[in-house]
Amino acid sequence: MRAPGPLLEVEGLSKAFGGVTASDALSFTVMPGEVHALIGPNGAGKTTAVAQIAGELKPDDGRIRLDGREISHLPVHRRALLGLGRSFQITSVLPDFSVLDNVALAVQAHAGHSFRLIRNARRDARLRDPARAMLTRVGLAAVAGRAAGALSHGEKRKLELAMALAGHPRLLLLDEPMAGMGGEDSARMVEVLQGLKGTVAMLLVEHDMDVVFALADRITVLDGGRVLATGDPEAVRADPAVIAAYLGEEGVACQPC
Amino acid sequence: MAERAPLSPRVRLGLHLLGLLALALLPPLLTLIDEPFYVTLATRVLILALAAVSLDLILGYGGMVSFGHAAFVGVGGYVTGILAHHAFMGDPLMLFGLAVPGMNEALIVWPLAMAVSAVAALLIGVLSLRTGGIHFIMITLAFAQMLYYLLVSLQAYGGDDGLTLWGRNTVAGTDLLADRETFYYVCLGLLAVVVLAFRRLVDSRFGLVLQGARQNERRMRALGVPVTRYRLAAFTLAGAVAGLAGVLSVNQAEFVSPTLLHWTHSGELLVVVILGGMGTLVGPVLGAFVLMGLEEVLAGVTEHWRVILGPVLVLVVLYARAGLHGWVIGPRRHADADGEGAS
Ligand SMILES: Nc1ncnc2c1ncn2[C@@H]1O[C@H](COP(=O)(O)OP(=O)(O)OP(=O)(O)O)[C@@H](O)[C@H]1O
Ligand SMILES: [Mg+2]
Repeated sequence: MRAPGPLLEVEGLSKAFGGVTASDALSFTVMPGEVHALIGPNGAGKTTAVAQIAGELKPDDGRIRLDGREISHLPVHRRALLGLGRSFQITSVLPDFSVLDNVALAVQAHAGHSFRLIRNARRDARLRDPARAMLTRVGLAAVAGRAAGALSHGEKRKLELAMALAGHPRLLLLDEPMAGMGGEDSARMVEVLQGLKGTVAMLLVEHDMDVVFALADRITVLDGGRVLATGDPEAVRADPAVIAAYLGEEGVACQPC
Repeated sequence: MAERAPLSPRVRLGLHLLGLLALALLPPLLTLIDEPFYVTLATRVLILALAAVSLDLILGYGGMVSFGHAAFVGVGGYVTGILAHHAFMGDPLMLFGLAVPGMNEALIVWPLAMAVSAVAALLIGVLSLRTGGIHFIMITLAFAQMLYYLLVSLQAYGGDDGLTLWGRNTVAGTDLLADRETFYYVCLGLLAVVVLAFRRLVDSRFGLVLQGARQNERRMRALGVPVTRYRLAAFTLAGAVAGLAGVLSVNQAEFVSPTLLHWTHSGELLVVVILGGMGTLVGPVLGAFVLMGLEEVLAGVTEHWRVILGPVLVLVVLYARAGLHGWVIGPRRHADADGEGAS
């Protein structure tokens, strides 16, 4: 048996857009079951890093391994099937479908191929039941029949999480899952994520330091595409480079930076 | 327009079946009022509708704006025409050193024509589906025009002038299709089967993936769906059904020419689907009747009928977003727990 190594290994990831270096030889790991926060000021390269891990952006250089397996050359859908679940910084749902349809499709995507042409998928309990259970878990059961496009912003965020979870991912890539949410919704989302802690690893991009310190086992700080510091919350909080470059301006427990 | 409460799926199905019944009663009614010529016109409408329904699968459900769908109609038509030509001439068709005998038998020719159209759609689809948006529109148009010019240059099969057939295909050796009304019912039956089959298809796992990819391709990929594969399958299936429409069209006219593949024909198919209502399957049938009807009426009034038709289409696009179908029977109901879905 292999010793339990990191679930996700990012090694020397580099990506430039014209003159802007969005990822500069990034290296970090996410351990199984760990909540790993990726923080940094606007434009630090957090979303770019996530997009390369998910496979939407092709890195200029570097390697990405999931559970020891090189995934750098796989297309987005293959990585998703290997266990990467994703929520986007800008909400991304299927607007014309019902909320339940959205999650049922996520279940379906992980249930083998979809070349099934005859049976009504909306009456398929193997898809609908798990989807409904997932909606209950994130607190959307009451709006299951509504068109996803008609949801409030906070509800869409929860729906995205439900879709990501429906595929039983090993690693959740969450790009600011609380962005634009009201205080109450946001607190509920933190609760949901807290409940997930330990069952699924997360790479969490988040600006709200209260949330980060409440959830994260480890933190990686990015600035200008480079890793400024990585370690457990206490160590990062005390890191002089981090204080100088990022946390320092508003104090350690600053509100949305 | 004011929002209307959606009709229940049962009522909608009832209305659709009522429409089918009306179409089934059309030939005796036309004979009754002594206008049997209109059976031929109605047959042409049904064939146009069949091609439009196949386009609706990829356009309305798959979001693929193909501006070259007539190519597959044309391929199906030419398979029929060329095989009939060789049957008449008595010399086999030489294909890659293989001698294919000429044929007039529908039971062989029709599936074969659909298969050839499917292969054409598969090849064009593989190349076109790498692109999206406006590029997809242009590249499908370009492939269709390429095929058009290829057929124009094929002097062996009449080139520009096309081929005239010596009768319709036989069915199990009988000349069943020669009768005007029988042929009408064959077309109606095939159209009904295709619409019913597609209705099932769009609610299946396959259909939901296709619709999901139209709404948000990025999200579908992030869920783990190889989107292009499903689009290609739908594109190929639509090509096969368009090929069947071509077969019927050539049988109806007993004539085939490159006009069948011309870009204006592809445009007409788009107009029929948009006018009738994208993503409804039944809408394009309605659209075909209204478009051909308008043409018939307006052409009698003025030779500049296109000048009138243009603005009518613009009005439909502006004020009846769901097309005539949506205007007549309202939007489809949004999904509740287990009910029919939204689309
Ligand atoms: N597609 C692109 N083309 C050009 N430049 C880009 C592109 N995407 C990102 N960038 C640039 O790369 C840098 C990193 O952007 P990124 O979106 O990854 O930052 P971020 O850390 O997610 O910021 P935020 O906190 O605002 O979401 C920025 O300077 C941005 O302008
Ligand atoms: Mg970002």
